[in-house]
Amino acid sequence: MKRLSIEERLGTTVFDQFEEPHITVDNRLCVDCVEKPCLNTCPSRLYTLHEGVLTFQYEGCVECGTCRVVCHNGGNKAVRWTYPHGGLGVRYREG
Amino acid sequence: MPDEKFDCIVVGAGLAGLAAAYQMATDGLQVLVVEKAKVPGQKNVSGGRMYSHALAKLIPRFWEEAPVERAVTREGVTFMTRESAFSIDFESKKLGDLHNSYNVLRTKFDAWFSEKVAARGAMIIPGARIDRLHIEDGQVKGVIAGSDKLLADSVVLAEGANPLLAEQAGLKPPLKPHQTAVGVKEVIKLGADVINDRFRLGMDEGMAQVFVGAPTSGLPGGGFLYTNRDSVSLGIVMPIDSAMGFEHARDKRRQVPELVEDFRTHPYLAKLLRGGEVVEYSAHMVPEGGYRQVPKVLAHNGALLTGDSAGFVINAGLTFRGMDLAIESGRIAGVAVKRAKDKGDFTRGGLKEYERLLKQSFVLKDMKRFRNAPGFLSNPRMYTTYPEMISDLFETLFTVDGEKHLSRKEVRQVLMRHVSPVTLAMDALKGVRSL
Repeated sequence: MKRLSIEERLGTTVFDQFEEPHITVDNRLCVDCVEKPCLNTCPSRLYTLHEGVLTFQYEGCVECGTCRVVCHNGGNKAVRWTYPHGGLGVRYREG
Repeated sequence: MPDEKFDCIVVGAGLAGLAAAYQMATDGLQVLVVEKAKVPGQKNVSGGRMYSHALAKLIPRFWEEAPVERAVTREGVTFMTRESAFSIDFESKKLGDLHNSYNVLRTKFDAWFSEKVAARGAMIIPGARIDRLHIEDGQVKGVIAGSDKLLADSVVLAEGANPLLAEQAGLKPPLKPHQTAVGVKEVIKLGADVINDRFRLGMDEGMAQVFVGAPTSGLPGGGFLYTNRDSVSLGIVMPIDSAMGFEHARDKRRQVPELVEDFRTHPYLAKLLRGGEVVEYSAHMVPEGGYRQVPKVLAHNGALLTGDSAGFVINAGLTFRGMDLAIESGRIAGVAVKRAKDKGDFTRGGLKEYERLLKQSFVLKDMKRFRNAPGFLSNPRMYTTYPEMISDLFETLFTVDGEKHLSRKEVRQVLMRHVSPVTLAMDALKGVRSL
Protein backbone atom coordinates (compact mmCIF):
# COMPACT_ATOMS: atom_id res chain seq x y z
CA MET A 1 0.00 0.00 0.00
CA LYS A 2 1.42 3.37 -0.93
CA ARG A 3 1.68 6.36 1.37
CA LEU A 4 -1.38 8.54 1.37
CA SER A 5 -1.50 12.26 2.00
CA ILE A 6 -3.68 13.49 4.81
CA GLU A 7 -6.05 14.95 2.21
CA GLU A 8 -6.41 11.53 0.55
CA ARG A 9 -7.09 9.88 3.91
CA LEU A 10 -9.62 12.51 4.98
CA GLY A 11 -11.27 11.93 1.61
CA THR A 12 -12.26 8.46 2.84
CA THR A 13 -14.13 9.89 5.85
CA VAL A 14 -17.65 11.28 5.53
CA PHE A 15 -18.42 14.81 6.72
CA ASP A 16 -21.80 16.55 6.85
CA GLN A 17 -20.87 20.08 5.82
CA PHE A 18 -21.87 23.14 7.81
CA GLU A 19 -21.35 26.88 7.60
CA GLU A 20 -20.43 28.21 11.00
CA PRO A 21 -17.02 26.99 12.27
CA HIS A 22 -17.28 25.01 15.51
CA ILE A 23 -13.67 25.84 16.37
CA THR A 24 -12.32 29.35 16.14
CA VAL A 25 -8.70 30.39 16.44
CA ASP A 26 -7.70 33.91 17.37
CA ASN A 27 -4.49 33.90 15.39
CA ARG A 28 -3.38 37.28 16.77
CA LEU A 29 -2.58 35.30 19.93
CA CYS A 30 -0.61 32.78 17.83
CA VAL A 31 1.92 35.45 16.88
CA ASP A 32 3.34 35.26 20.41
CA CYS A 33 3.14 31.46 20.56
CA VAL A 34 6.63 30.05 20.14
CA GLU A 35 5.86 26.34 20.19
CA LYS A 36 2.70 26.20 18.08
CA PRO A 37 1.95 22.63 19.25
CA CYS A 38 -1.21 22.52 17.10
CA LEU A 39 0.94 22.18 13.96
CA ASN A 40 2.22 18.69 14.61
CA THR A 41 -0.52 17.22 16.81
CA CYS A 42 -3.73 17.82 14.83
CA PRO A 43 -4.54 14.43 13.26
CA SER A 44 -6.15 16.16 10.27
CA ARG A 45 -3.35 18.72 9.94
CA LEU A 46 -5.79 21.61 9.84
CA TYR A 47 -3.33 24.06 11.39
CA THR A 48 -0.69 25.37 9.00
CA LEU A 49 1.73 28.26 8.75
CA HIS A 50 1.59 30.59 5.75
CA GLU A 51 4.43 33.11 5.69
CA GLY A 52 4.58 33.01 9.47
CA VAL A 53 0.83 33.41 9.97
CA LEU A 54 -1.09 30.56 11.55
CA THR A 55 -4.13 29.52 9.58
CA PHE A 56 -6.83 27.07 10.56
CA GLN A 57 -9.56 25.48 8.49
CA TYR A 58 -12.37 23.64 10.22
CA GLU A 59 -13.43 21.45 7.28
CA GLY A 60 -11.94 18.00 7.80
CA CYS A 61 -12.01 18.22 11.60
CA VAL A 62 -12.61 14.79 13.13
CA GLU A 63 -13.57 16.41 16.47
CA CYS A 64 -11.00 14.69 18.65
CA GLY A 65 -10.25 17.75 20.82
CA THR A 66 -6.46 17.43 20.76
CA CYS A 67 -5.96 21.07 19.65
CA ARG A 68 -7.97 22.29 22.61
CA VAL A 69 -5.69 20.43 25.01
CA VAL A 70 -2.39 21.47 23.38
CA CYS A 71 -3.34 25.09 22.76
CA HIS A 72 -4.36 25.55 26.38
CA ASN A 73 -1.25 23.77 27.69
CA GLY A 74 1.79 24.94 25.78
CA GLY A 75 0.05 27.14 23.25
CA ASN A 76 -1.36 30.62 23.76
CA LYS A 77 -5.01 29.72 24.47
CA ALA A 78 -6.12 30.87 21.03
CA VAL A 79 -8.48 27.95 20.36
CA ARG A 80 -12.17 28.11 21.26
CA TRP A 81 -13.70 24.69 20.91
CA THR A 82 -17.25 23.30 20.62
CA TYR A 83 -18.85 20.47 18.68
CA PRO A 84 -20.70 21.21 15.45
CA HIS A 85 -24.43 21.85 15.74
CA GLY A 86 -27.08 19.17 15.58
CA GLY A 87 -25.36 16.10 14.23
CA LEU A 88 -23.27 17.87 11.59
CA GLY A 89 -19.55 17.39 11.09
CA VAL A 90 -17.76 14.05 11.00
CA ARG A 91 -20.02 11.05 10.44
CA TYR A 92 -18.23 7.76 10.91
CA ARG A 93 -19.39 4.62 9.10
CA GLU A 94 -16.89 2.32 10.86
CA GLY A 95 -15.88 4.07 14.08
CA MET B 1 -38.57 18.62 22.69
CA PRO B 2 -40.46 17.07 25.59
CA ASP B 3 -41.47 19.37 28.45
CA GLU B 4 -41.74 16.70 31.13
CA LYS B 5 -39.12 16.22 33.81
CA PHE B 6 -36.99 13.10 33.63
CA ASP B 7 -35.54 11.05 36.43
CA CYS B 8 -32.27 11.22 34.56
CA ILE B 9 -30.80 12.79 31.44
CA VAL B 10 -27.80 10.93 30.05
CA VAL B 11 -25.40 13.06 27.99
CA GLY B 12 -23.77 10.92 25.33
CA ALA B 13 -24.79 7.68 23.62
CA GLY B 14 -21.45 5.94 23.97
CA LEU B 15 -21.00 2.77 25.94
CA ALA B 16 -21.09 4.44 29.39
CA GLY B 17 -24.20 6.47 28.63
CA LEU B 18 -26.03 3.61 26.96
CA ALA B 19 -25.21 1.22 29.80
CA ALA B 20 -26.50 3.76 32.34
CA ALA B 21 -29.70 4.28 30.35
CA TYR B 22 -30.20 0.54 29.87
CA GLN B 23 -29.89 -0.07 33.61
CA MET B 24 -32.24 2.77 34.56
CA ALA B 25 -34.85 2.01 31.91
CA THR B 26 -34.85 -1.63 33.04
CA ASP B 27 -35.59 -0.35 36.57
CA GLY B 28 -38.53 1.65 35.25
CA LEU B 29 -37.00 5.12 35.45
CA GLN B 30 -37.89 7.91 33.02
CA VAL B 31 -34.66 8.32 31.07
CA LEU B 32 -33.63 10.60 28.24
CA VAL B 33 -30.39 10.08 26.31
CA VAL B 34 -29.12 13.07 24.33
CA GLU B 35 -26.48 12.48 21.66
CA LYS B 36 -24.76 14.90 19.30
CA ALA B 37 -24.52 12.48 16.34
CA LYS B 38 -27.51 12.05 14.02
CA VAL B 39 -27.45 8.33 14.76
CA PRO B 40 -25.82 6.98 17.94
CA GLY B 41 -22.40 5.60 17.07
CA GLN B 42 -21.62 7.94 14.20
CA LYS B 43 -19.26 10.06 16.32
CA ASN B 44 -17.82 7.18 18.34
CA VAL B 45 -14.38 5.70 17.82
CA SER B 46 -12.28 3.12 19.61
CA GLY B 47 -9.15 1.20 18.78
CA GLY B 48 -11.23 -1.86 18.42
CA ARG B 49 -11.33 -4.51 21.16
CA MET B 50 -13.92 -4.83 23.90
CA TYR B 51 -13.59 -7.19 26.84
CA SER B 52 -16.98 -8.86 27.12
CA HIS B 53 -17.54 -9.32 30.84
CA ALA B 54 -19.08 -5.91 31.59
CA LEU B 55 -21.72 -5.87 28.88
CA ALA B 56 -22.52 -9.54 29.51
CA LYS B 57 -23.80 -8.51 32.96
CA LEU B 58 -26.41 -6.29 31.33
CA ILE B 59 -27.13 -8.36 28.23
CA PRO B 60 -26.13 -12.00 28.76
CA ARG B 61 -24.57 -13.59 25.67
CA PHE B 62 -24.83 -10.27 23.81
CA TRP B 63 -22.37 -11.55 21.20
CA GLU B 64 -25.07 -13.82 19.77
CA GLU B 65 -27.04 -10.82 18.53
CA ALA B 66 -24.69 -7.82 18.62
CA PRO B 67 -22.73 -6.76 15.52
CA VAL B 68 -19.34 -7.87 16.87
CA GLU B 69 -16.56 -8.31 14.32
CA ARG B 70 -14.45 -11.25 15.53
CA ALA B 71 -13.77 -13.10 18.80
CA VAL B 72 -10.14 -12.49 19.73
CA THR B 73 -8.25 -15.80 19.85
CA ARG B 74 -4.82 -14.49 18.94
CA GLU B 75 -2.80 -11.87 20.83
CA GLY B 76 0.41 -10.30 19.66
CA VAL B 77 3.03 -7.99 21.13
CA THR B 78 5.66 -6.68 18.75
CA PHE B 79 8.79 -4.69 19.51
CA MET B 80 9.61 -2.78 16.39
CA THR B 81 12.53 -0.82 15.02
CA ARG B 82 12.54 0.81 11.59
CA GLU B 83 13.80 -2.43 10.03
CA SER B 84 12.92 -5.25 12.37
CA ALA B 85 10.08 -6.71 14.39
CA PHE B 86 10.26 -9.09 17.35
CA SER B 87 6.88 -10.60 18.21
CA ILE B 88 5.30 -12.57 20.97
CA ASP B 89 2.41 -14.44 19.41
CA PHE B 90 -0.16 -16.19 21.56
CA GLU B 91 -3.00 -18.23 20.14
CA SER B 92 -5.67 -20.01 22.13
CA LYS B 93 -9.01 -21.42 21.14
CA LYS B 94 -9.94 -21.07 24.79
CA LEU B 95 -9.95 -17.27 24.58
CA GLY B 96 -12.68 -17.60 21.98
CA ASP B 97 -14.62 -20.23 23.91
CA LEU B 98 -14.58 -17.92 26.94
CA HIS B 99 -15.90 -15.04 24.84
CA ASN B 100 -13.12 -13.06 26.51
CA SER B 101 -13.05 -10.17 24.06
CA TYR B 102 -14.36 -9.08 20.69
CA ASN B 103 -13.08 -6.76 18.03
CA VAL B 104 -15.73 -4.15 17.38
CA LEU B 105 -16.41 -1.20 15.12
CA ARG B 106 -18.24 1.31 17.23
CA THR B 107 -20.51 2.95 14.69
CA LYS B 108 -22.30 -0.34 14.09
CA PHE B 109 -21.98 -1.61 17.64
CA ASP B 110 -23.25 1.49 19.42
CA ALA B 111 -26.17 1.84 17.00
CA TRP B 112 -27.21 -1.70 17.97
CA PHE B 113 -26.80 -0.98 21.69
CA SER B 114 -28.85 2.22 21.43
CA GLU B 115 -31.69 0.21 19.88
CA LYS B 116 -31.57 -2.17 22.83
CA VAL B 117 -31.75 0.83 25.18
CA ALA B 118 -34.70 2.30 23.29
CA ALA B 119 -36.47 -1.07 23.42
CA ARG B 120 -36.18 -0.93 27.22
CA GLY B 121 -38.16 2.31 27.18
CA ALA B 122 -35.52 5.05 27.33
CA MET B 123 -36.05 8.03 25.05
CA ILE B 124 -33.13 8.88 22.77
CA ILE B 125 -32.77 12.28 21.09
CA PRO B 126 -29.94 12.20 18.55
CA GLY B 127 -28.54 15.19 16.68
CA ALA B 128 -28.65 17.26 19.89
CA ARG B 129 -25.58 19.15 21.00
CA ILE B 130 -25.77 20.12 24.66
CA ASP B 131 -24.33 23.58 25.28
CA ARG B 132 -24.23 23.56 29.08
CA LEU B 133 -25.60 22.03 32.22
CA HIS B 134 -28.63 23.64 33.83
CA ILE B 135 -27.56 24.37 37.41
CA GLU B 136 -29.74 25.91 40.14
CA ASP B 137 -28.21 26.72 43.54
CA GLY B 138 -25.32 24.37 42.94
CA GLN B 139 -27.58 21.48 41.98
CA VAL B 140 -27.49 20.12 38.42
CA LYS B 141 -31.12 20.04 37.25
CA GLY B 142 -30.89 19.40 33.56
CA VAL B 143 -29.20 20.42 30.34
CA ILE B 144 -29.47 23.29 27.88
CA ALA B 145 -29.36 22.80 24.12
CA GLY B 146 -29.76 26.06 22.20
CA SER B 147 -33.05 27.57 23.38
CA ASP B 148 -34.28 24.27 24.86
CA LYS B 149 -34.00 23.53 28.53
CA LEU B 150 -34.43 19.88 29.46
CA LEU B 151 -35.12 19.16 33.12
CA ALA B 152 -34.20 16.14 35.20
CA ASP B 153 -33.51 15.14 38.79
CA SER B 154 -30.11 13.90 37.74
CA VAL B 155 -27.64 14.02 34.85
CA VAL B 156 -25.25 11.22 33.94
CA LEU B 157 -22.25 12.75 32.18
CA ALA B 158 -21.03 10.27 29.58
CA GLU B 159 -19.54 12.84 27.23
CA GLY B 160 -16.50 10.82 26.37
CA ALA B 161 -12.83 11.73 26.35
CA ASN B 162 -13.37 15.42 25.67
CA PRO B 163 -15.70 16.33 28.55
CA LEU B 164 -16.59 19.93 27.76
CA LEU B 165 -19.68 20.12 29.99
CA ALA B 166 -18.00 18.66 33.06
CA GLU B 167 -14.99 20.97 32.66
CA GLN B 168 -17.15 24.01 32.03
CA ALA B 169 -19.18 23.33 35.19
CA GLY B 170 -16.01 22.77 37.24
CA LEU B 171 -16.88 19.13 37.94
CA LYS B 172 -13.45 17.97 36.84
CA PRO B 173 -10.11 19.66 36.13
CA PRO B 174 -9.16 20.41 32.50
CA LEU B 175 -7.35 17.68 30.54
CA LYS B 176 -3.56 17.84 30.65
CA PRO B 177 -1.26 16.71 27.80
CA HIS B 178 0.63 14.19 29.95
CA GLN B 179 -2.61 12.52 31.08
CA THR B 180 -4.25 12.39 27.68
CA ALA B 181 -3.30 10.50 24.55
CA VAL B 182 -4.26 11.09 20.96
CA GLY B 183 -5.23 8.04 18.92
CA VAL B 184 -5.31 7.96 15.13
CA LYS B 185 -6.81 5.06 13.22
CA GLU B 186 -7.19 3.84 9.66
CA VAL B 187 -9.72 1.18 8.75
CA ILE B 188 -8.26 -0.86 5.90
CA LYS B 189 -10.47 -3.13 3.82
CA LEU B 190 -8.85 -6.45 2.90
CA GLY B 191 -11.64 -9.02 2.64
CA ALA B 192 -12.47 -11.77 5.13
CA ASP B 193 -10.58 -14.56 3.34
CA VAL B 194 -7.40 -12.51 3.03
CA ILE B 195 -7.56 -11.66 6.72
CA ASN B 196 -8.09 -15.31 7.70
CA ASP B 197 -5.10 -16.37 5.60
CA ARG B 198 -2.62 -13.63 6.47
CA PHE B 199 -3.35 -13.55 10.17
CA ARG B 200 -3.87 -17.31 10.45
CA LEU B 201 -7.41 -17.07 11.76
CA GLY B 202 -10.42 -19.33 11.51
CA MET B 203 -13.84 -18.03 10.57
CA ASP B 204 -14.94 -15.38 13.11
CA GLU B 205 -11.62 -15.64 14.95
CA GLY B 206 -9.81 -12.37 15.52
CA MET B 207 -6.47 -10.91 16.43
CA ALA B 208 -5.33 -8.07 18.67
CA GLN B 209 -1.75 -6.91 18.31
CA VAL B 210 0.15 -4.08 19.98
CA PHE B 211 3.42 -2.57 18.75
CA VAL B 212 6.14 -0.78 20.71
CA GLY B 213 8.94 1.40 19.36
CA ALA B 214 8.94 2.47 15.72
CA PRO B 215 5.17 3.23 15.43
CA THR B 216 5.62 6.32 17.59
CA SER B 217 9.07 7.13 16.26
CA GLY B 218 10.65 5.91 19.49
CA LEU B 219 8.53 8.16 21.70
CA PRO B 220 6.09 6.94 24.38
CA GLY B 221 2.92 5.44 22.94
CA GLY B 222 2.34 2.50 20.65
CA GLY B 223 0.64 1.00 17.65
CA PHE B 224 -2.33 -1.35 17.41
CA LEU B 225 -3.89 -3.70 14.92
CA TYR B 226 -7.31 -5.31 15.32
CA THR B 227 -8.96 -7.58 12.79
CA ASN B 228 -12.54 -6.83 11.85
CA ARG B 229 -14.77 -9.06 9.74
CA ASP B 230 -13.41 -7.85 6.39
CA SER B 231 -11.10 -5.01 7.41
CA VAL B 232 -8.42 -4.24 9.95
CA SER B 233 -8.20 -1.29 12.32
CA LEU B 234 -4.64 0.03 12.38
CA GLY B 235 -3.40 2.99 14.34
CA ILE B 236 -1.23 4.64 16.92
CA VAL B 237 -1.91 6.09 20.34
CA MET B 238 0.54 8.48 21.92
CA PRO B 239 0.47 10.73 24.97
CA ILE B 240 -0.22 14.26 23.82
CA ASP B 241 2.85 15.64 25.58
CA SER B 242 5.10 13.30 23.60
CA ALA B 243 3.17 14.08 20.38
CA MET B 244 3.80 17.75 21.02
CA GLY B 245 7.51 17.00 20.55
CA PHE B 246 8.45 20.65 20.86
CA GLU B 247 12.04 20.28 19.79
CA HIS B 248 10.85 18.72 16.53
CA ALA B 249 7.91 21.00 15.89
CA ARG B 250 8.86 21.45 12.25
CA ASP B 251 9.88 17.84 11.67
CA LYS B 252 7.24 16.20 9.51
CA ARG B 253 8.14 12.73 10.71
CA ARG B 254 7.01 13.73 14.18
CA GLN B 255 3.64 14.95 12.98
CA VAL B 256 0.84 12.74 14.20
CA PRO B 257 -0.78 12.21 10.76
CA GLU B 258 2.57 11.05 9.31
CA LEU B 259 3.37 8.59 12.10
CA VAL B 260 0.44 6.38 11.18
CA GLU B 261 1.58 6.39 7.53
CA ASP B 262 5.11 5.39 8.57
CA PHE B 263 3.52 2.59 10.57
CA ARG B 264 1.27 1.30 7.78
CA THR B 265 4.14 1.33 5.30
CA HIS B 266 6.64 -0.35 7.69
CA PRO B 267 8.01 -3.50 5.99
CA TYR B 268 6.29 -5.75 8.57
CA LEU B 269 2.85 -4.26 7.97
CA ALA B 270 3.22 -3.45 4.28
CA LYS B 271 3.26 -7.19 3.54
CA LEU B 272 0.31 -7.97 5.78
CA LEU B 273 -1.79 -5.18 4.33
CA ARG B 274 -0.81 -5.55 0.67
CA GLY B 275 -3.70 -4.76 -1.66
CA GLY B 276 -5.74 -3.18 1.11
CA GLU B 277 -7.71 0.01 0.82
CA VAL B 278 -8.07 2.70 3.46
CA VAL B 279 -11.82 3.23 3.87
CA GLU B 280 -11.90 5.53 6.88
CA TYR B 281 -9.57 7.82 8.82
CA SER B 282 -10.45 8.76 12.38
CA ALA B 283 -8.97 10.21 15.56
CA HIS B 284 -9.92 10.27 19.21
CA MET B 285 -8.45 11.23 22.56
CA VAL B 286 -7.82 8.66 25.30
CA PRO B 287 -7.63 9.66 28.99
CA GLU B 288 -4.59 7.56 29.88
CA GLY B 289 -3.56 9.20 33.15
CA GLY B 290 -4.76 6.20 35.14
CA TYR B 291 -5.96 6.00 38.73
CA ARG B 292 -4.25 9.20 39.89
CA GLN B 293 -6.02 11.20 37.20
CA VAL B 294 -9.51 10.03 38.21
CA PRO B 295 -11.24 12.94 40.02
CA LYS B 296 -11.67 12.32 43.75
CA VAL B 297 -15.30 13.39 43.50
CA LEU B 298 -17.37 11.51 40.92
CA ALA B 299 -20.82 12.15 42.38
CA HIS B 300 -21.86 15.80 42.43
CA ASN B 301 -25.15 17.46 43.33
CA GLY B 302 -27.35 16.02 40.60
CA ALA B 303 -24.56 14.76 38.33
CA LEU B 304 -22.37 11.67 37.93
CA LEU B 305 -19.16 11.31 35.91
CA THR B 306 -18.81 8.06 33.96
CA GLY B 307 -16.61 6.33 31.37
CA ASP B 308 -13.95 8.34 29.56
CA SER B 309 -15.34 11.54 31.12
CA ALA B 310 -14.19 10.21 34.49
CA GLY B 311 -10.88 8.96 33.07
CA PHE B 312 -11.75 5.27 33.38
CA VAL B 313 -9.06 3.82 31.12
CA ILE B 314 -6.31 1.32 31.93
CA ASN B 315 -3.18 1.13 29.84
CA ALA B 316 -1.31 -1.80 31.37
CA GLY B 317 1.19 -2.14 28.55
CA LEU B 318 -0.21 -5.42 27.22
CA THR B 319 -3.89 -4.84 27.87
CA PHE B 320 -5.79 -1.65 27.06
CA ARG B 321 -9.18 -1.23 28.61
CA GLY B 322 -11.77 1.48 28.46
CA MET B 323 -14.95 0.03 27.05
CA ASP B 324 -15.56 -2.50 29.84
CA LEU B 325 -14.85 0.18 32.46
CA ALA B 326 -17.21 2.58 30.71
CA ILE B 327 -20.02 0.02 30.63
CA GLU B 328 -19.64 -0.97 34.28
CA SER B 329 -19.38 2.64 35.46
CA GLY B 330 -22.53 3.44 33.47
CA ARG B 331 -24.36 0.47 34.93
CA ILE B 332 -23.34 1.47 38.46
CA ALA B 333 -24.39 5.07 37.81
CA GLY B 334 -27.79 3.71 36.81
CA VAL B 335 -28.05 1.72 40.05
CA ALA B 336 -27.03 4.79 42.08
CA VAL B 337 -29.61 7.03 40.41
CA LYS B 338 -32.34 4.44 41.16
CA ARG B 339 -31.34 4.37 44.84
CA ALA B 340 -31.24 8.18 44.96
CA LYS B 341 -34.75 8.25 43.54
CA ASP B 342 -35.96 5.73 46.12
CA LYS B 343 -34.57 8.01 48.84
CA GLY B 344 -35.77 11.16 47.11
CA ASP B 345 -32.30 12.64 47.45
CA PHE B 346 -30.38 13.68 44.34
CA THR B 347 -27.77 15.75 46.15
CA ARG B 348 -24.19 14.57 46.39
CA GLY B 349 -25.18 12.83 49.61
CA GLY B 350 -27.94 10.87 47.88
CA LEU B 351 -25.80 10.01 44.85
CA LYS B 352 -22.64 9.14 46.80
CA GLU B 353 -23.62 5.49 46.54
CA TYR B 354 -22.08 5.73 43.05
CA GLU B 355 -18.60 6.27 44.47
CA ARG B 356 -19.05 3.50 47.07
CA LEU B 357 -20.20 0.95 44.46
CA LEU B 358 -17.41 1.96 42.07
CA LYS B 359 -14.81 1.35 44.78
CA GLN B 360 -16.22 -2.14 45.32
CA SER B 361 -16.28 -2.86 41.57
CA PHE B 362 -13.51 -3.90 39.22
CA VAL B 363 -13.55 -0.38 37.79
CA LEU B 364 -11.65 1.31 40.60
CA LYS B 365 -10.05 -1.89 41.95
CA ASP B 366 -8.35 -2.61 38.63
CA MET B 367 -7.46 1.03 38.07
CA LYS B 368 -5.85 1.13 41.50
CA ARG B 369 -3.98 -2.08 40.85
CA PHE B 370 -2.39 -0.58 37.72
CA ARG B 371 -1.86 2.86 39.29
CA ASN B 372 1.90 2.77 38.67
CA ALA B 373 1.63 1.70 35.02
CA PRO B 374 1.48 5.26 33.59
CA GLY B 375 4.76 6.10 35.34
CA PHE B 376 6.45 2.94 34.11
CA LEU B 377 5.15 3.43 30.58
CA SER B 378 6.45 7.00 30.41
CA ASN B 379 10.01 5.63 30.60
CA PRO B 380 11.54 6.59 27.22
CA ARG B 381 13.80 3.49 27.23
CA MET B 382 10.71 1.36 26.56
CA TYR B 383 10.34 2.90 23.12
CA THR B 384 13.92 3.29 21.91
CA THR B 385 16.53 1.40 23.94
CA TYR B 386 14.67 -1.87 24.46
CA PRO B 387 13.25 -2.37 20.95
CA GLU B 388 16.75 -1.63 19.58
CA MET B 389 18.34 -3.97 22.10
CA ILE B 390 15.96 -6.83 21.29
CA SER B 391 16.51 -6.29 17.57
CA ASP B 392 20.29 -6.25 17.99
CA LEU B 393 20.21 -9.39 20.14
CA PHE B 394 18.12 -11.45 17.73
CA GLU B 395 19.94 -10.21 14.65
CA THR B 396 23.14 -11.39 16.32
CA LEU B 397 21.62 -14.72 17.35
CA PHE B 398 20.19 -15.44 13.91
CA THR B 399 23.21 -14.32 11.90
CA VAL B 400 25.59 -17.13 10.92
CA ASP B 401 28.79 -16.19 9.13
CA GLY B 402 31.08 -19.04 10.11
CA GLU B 403 33.21 -16.86 12.35
CA LYS B 404 31.25 -15.70 15.38
CA HIS B 405 30.35 -18.22 18.05
CA LEU B 406 27.81 -16.67 20.29
CA SER B 407 28.71 -17.18 23.92
CA ARG B 408 26.98 -15.94 27.04
CA LYS B 409 29.63 -13.30 27.25
CA GLU B 410 28.84 -12.05 23.79
CA VAL B 411 25.10 -11.93 24.49
CA ARG B 412 25.94 -9.89 27.56
CA GLN B 413 28.06 -7.58 25.44
CA VAL B 414 25.20 -7.05 22.99
CA LEU B 415 22.86 -6.13 25.84
CA MET B 416 25.41 -3.81 27.44
CA ARG B 417 25.80 -1.93 24.16
CA HIS B 418 22.31 -0.57 24.89
CA VAL B 419 21.86 -0.35 28.63
CA SER B 420 23.76 -0.81 31.88
CA PRO B 421 22.99 -3.93 33.93
CA VAL B 422 21.73 -1.82 36.84
CA THR B 423 19.33 0.16 34.66
CA LEU B 424 18.07 -3.01 32.99
CA ALA B 425 17.48 -4.69 36.35
CA MET B 426 15.70 -1.66 37.76
CA ASP B 427 13.45 -1.23 34.73
CA ALA B 428 12.58 -4.93 34.85
CA LEU B 429 11.73 -4.68 38.54
CA LYS B 430 9.55 -1.60 37.99
CA GLY B 431 7.80 -3.43 35.16
CA VAL B 432 7.03 -6.43 37.32
CA ARG B 433 5.76 -4.20 40.13
CA SER B 434 3.57 -1.91 38.04
CA LEU B 435 2.09 -4.19 35.37
